[in-house]
Amino acid sequence: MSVSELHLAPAAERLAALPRLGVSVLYNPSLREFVRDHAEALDYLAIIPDRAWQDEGAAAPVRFVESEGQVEILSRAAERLTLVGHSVGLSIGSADPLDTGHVEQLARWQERFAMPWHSDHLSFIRLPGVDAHTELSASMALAVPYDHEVLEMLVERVDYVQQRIPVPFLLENNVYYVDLPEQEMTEPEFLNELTRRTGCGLLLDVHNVVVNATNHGFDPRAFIHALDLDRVVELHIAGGSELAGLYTDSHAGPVAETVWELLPEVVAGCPNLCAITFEFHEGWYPAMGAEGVLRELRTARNVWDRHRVHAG
Amino acid sequence: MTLLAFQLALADLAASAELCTRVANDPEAALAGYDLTPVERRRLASAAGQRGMRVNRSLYRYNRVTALATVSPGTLHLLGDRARDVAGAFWAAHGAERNMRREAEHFAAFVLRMLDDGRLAGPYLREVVEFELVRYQVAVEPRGPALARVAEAARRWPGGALAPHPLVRAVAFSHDPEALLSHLAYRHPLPYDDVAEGEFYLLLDYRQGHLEQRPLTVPQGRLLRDGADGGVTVDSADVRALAAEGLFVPAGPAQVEHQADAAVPRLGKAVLQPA
Repeated sequence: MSVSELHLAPAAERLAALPRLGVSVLYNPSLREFVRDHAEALDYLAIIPDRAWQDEGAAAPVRFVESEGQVEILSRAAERLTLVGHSVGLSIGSADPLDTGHVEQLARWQERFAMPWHSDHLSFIRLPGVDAHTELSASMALAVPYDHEVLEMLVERVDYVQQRIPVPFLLENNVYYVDLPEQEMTEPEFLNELTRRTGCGLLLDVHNVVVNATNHGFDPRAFIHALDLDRVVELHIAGGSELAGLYTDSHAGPVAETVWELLPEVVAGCPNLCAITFEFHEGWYPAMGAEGVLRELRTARNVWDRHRVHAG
Repeated sequence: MTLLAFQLALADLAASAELCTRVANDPEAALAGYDLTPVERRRLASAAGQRGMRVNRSLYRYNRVTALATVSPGTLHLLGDRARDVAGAFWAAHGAERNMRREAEHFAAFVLRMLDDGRLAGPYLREVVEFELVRYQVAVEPRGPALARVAEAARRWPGGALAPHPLVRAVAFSHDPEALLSHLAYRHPLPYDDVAEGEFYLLLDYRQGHLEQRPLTVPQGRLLRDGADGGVTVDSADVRALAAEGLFVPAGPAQVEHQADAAVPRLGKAVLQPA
């Protein structure tokens, strides 16, 4: 199915038609040589587009100042690998108006690298500034409350993104350290409703589920099985660490053991799964080295090969 | 409006232990300034007292200090034990900017203001604050449009006034920058007894798409610094030499206007005035 055909297809067909890519990493600057030297170990490359530009704000003559160095690295990688975008700056859950300029920039990047899908986080980070020239940041992605009001806002925004960018859009489940009482829906109910109404896909971050289950005392398996798993296109796997008495999604080196334990079941349960992405903080690369990254990829590939549902 | 107020309040809690304490003790009073529903107020009151909010506050500090350490590692090193208090005071006074350059500019202005009014003192701080800010500013200057402006000015106004190339900066030092920056690169503890005092200039050059830096003579450095405030004419061998290297280029009205009107503060006296 071509991109133009994909754009017009019903949601379920669009996700089912995506290429089954395999296993890879989320690019960070520590992986520059790794990607060059070990491209054969990667089935694609997940990238964070927003890290390759600086946003000067809507009023600037040139709003998105792209890093020539980053663009060159990614362009070189794109000669050998399919790129998949995982942005961090859309802030689709912010209560102020959707940043349509950011959507346009993502659309340009999708087109530039022919990404088969793109994703962002179901959270908010952007805050309104004190004047038209200021945009503030919460300095971390914060979860939205799972309320009907928020759902309505997000449905409209996801529809807009999907109209502007012709490939499937995935939203990633949140990690959160604070429980908000009296929410109108559970997280799986909210995600299911959002994907059902918009046709968007899910990027299921298995480590986020593990972090939330550890800190908030629920069963990660029950959470995962409460989701409409046919919406899951990509998985994130990662490791974490302790902070202030809680387990955090710090991407601290190798994949957490609990994630490995869950992964076969998750992979087998997601009929439209196309990719498993290992993400880690760049500060961990010196400790892991190339061999450490390759080891995580081999383990993930073993699960992918043995448990994935074959299309058709 | 209330969802927006809720998000602002949640973000404020993640930024302030003091606000968390006030909200936990008396949510009605502490949240009175936010336009919230009763449910949102109850959610925030619950959140303020949770262990998870300590994690949020740690992440907030980590992410903000990472931005400062990326742009201003030498400044933080020179601040030493005072860095935590200075950063804390800065964060209390300024929300986190999404744009890292503006965040760095505000931090530099904040530190310089503390130096000016005597709340902060220390050798090398002023020049290192300015150097690190300018190094970042020039590296994120949109290169394509800058080169296009230079080319257009050279084509249309070849014989007119000159201005520094928009992708170069001359940074003034009152200590030998080579020795000073070497100490900072290796995180050597103070004092730096081998760093000579005097008038020095360092050229930061991003014309090729990567940062190059080299010392300038005092006349060259002064010319490039003064030239940033307005066009200069070819009236000396130094100007001709700098123009021959492409460090001075035809200003053209567009470039002069761009420099005068830029929302982005630039190196020089006008750059780092207290906000």
